[in-house]
Amino acid sequence: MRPSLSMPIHTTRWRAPLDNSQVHHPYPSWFKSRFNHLSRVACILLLSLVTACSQQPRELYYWGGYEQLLYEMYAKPGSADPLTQIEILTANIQRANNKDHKVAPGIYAHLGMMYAALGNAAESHTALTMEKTLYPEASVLIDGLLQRAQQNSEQAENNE
Amino acid sequence: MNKMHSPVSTSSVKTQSNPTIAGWIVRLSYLLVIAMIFILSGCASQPYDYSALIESKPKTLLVLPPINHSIEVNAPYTFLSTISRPLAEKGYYVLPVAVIDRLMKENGLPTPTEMHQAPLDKIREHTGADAVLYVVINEWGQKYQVLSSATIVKADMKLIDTQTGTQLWDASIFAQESSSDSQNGIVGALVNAVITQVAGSIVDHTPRLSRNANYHAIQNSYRGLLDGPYKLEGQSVETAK
Repeated sequence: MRPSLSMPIHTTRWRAPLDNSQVHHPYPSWFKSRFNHLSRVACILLLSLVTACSQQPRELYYWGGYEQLLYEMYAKPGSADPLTQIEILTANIQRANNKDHKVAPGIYAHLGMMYAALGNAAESHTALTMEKTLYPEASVLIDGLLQRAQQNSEQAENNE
Repeated sequence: MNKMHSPVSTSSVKTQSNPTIAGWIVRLSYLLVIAMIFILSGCASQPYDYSALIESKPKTLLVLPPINHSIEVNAPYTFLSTISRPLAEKGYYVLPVAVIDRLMKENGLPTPTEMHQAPLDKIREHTGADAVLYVVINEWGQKYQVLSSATIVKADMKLIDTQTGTQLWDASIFAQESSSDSQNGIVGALVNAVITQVAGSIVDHTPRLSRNANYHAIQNSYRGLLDGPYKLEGQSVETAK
């Protein structure tokens, strides 16, 4: 179909002027064609909110499954025997070391307690000492535990 | 293209001459935002008294198994599993909760009520704790209503200095999650309530709620716990870099 002469060339005020470089557009053309002003503002606000929320700082410590372990140990007794717990905790410590993230307070002490429950005095001693090395605040508690363990083993020897 | 653009152009011409309904909505929303700022600043007018906490500067915290006033048997230890992390991430050393629990039990204190009565100087002597967190659980677990069920977590906590016996900080934790669904009508709500009440006995939502409630109580910017030594240490290292 041939365009008739009566048809105007520019029908709306939104059509781009001939020389694009002289006009400053606040939004790119694909954006302008799809949204009116209010929804543009809403979009930008929403985007900035989403990005603000997603910037979470790294935690001080690596916790892994420690909380879950504590929960299961009490809520479902029998599901977490010392051997299973030792397995989970050592895997936890391994992952923390791989990520170069400090092992959370209490994890080594808990591991030490589990080794003691199995009667493995040497491993228990190593784990408890590790807790003390990482967190000197634990020394009163750990020293007490180690002392008691030693007394118990001496007593056992005397009984024999 | 013409059809799509023409309504936009006419409406924009209107807003230039005299404000439309949309214009008034925008103006009203500005007013609303300003009013909100005034209301929020009004809430913050009474600051929490941190003088005892600042003076005491505790490093090592001990959390005793909570006293349970709810009917949920597992409540104390579910709470206990979610308290170490927020406290430690706030910069304090939290003594291993399970080890402390066993230590107390081995020393003739089998229940939380008895542990809460243990003298502070003995606790300090055996564990090296600077402060003890005493927790009382008020409500815990699922509440069944006619058409829905809600999971509730509610407790009060107090941080007490082991040397002086003074209260350093206190907080109430609360979280609730409702499983009711109004969109499906009464039949939908009934089915939903049955499903969640059956499934709720298998999936326990309280650890997640407890974790959230503890986090918010401790991190609260108006009356939360102040940053502890490990957090402050980390900040000074960062600024030194």
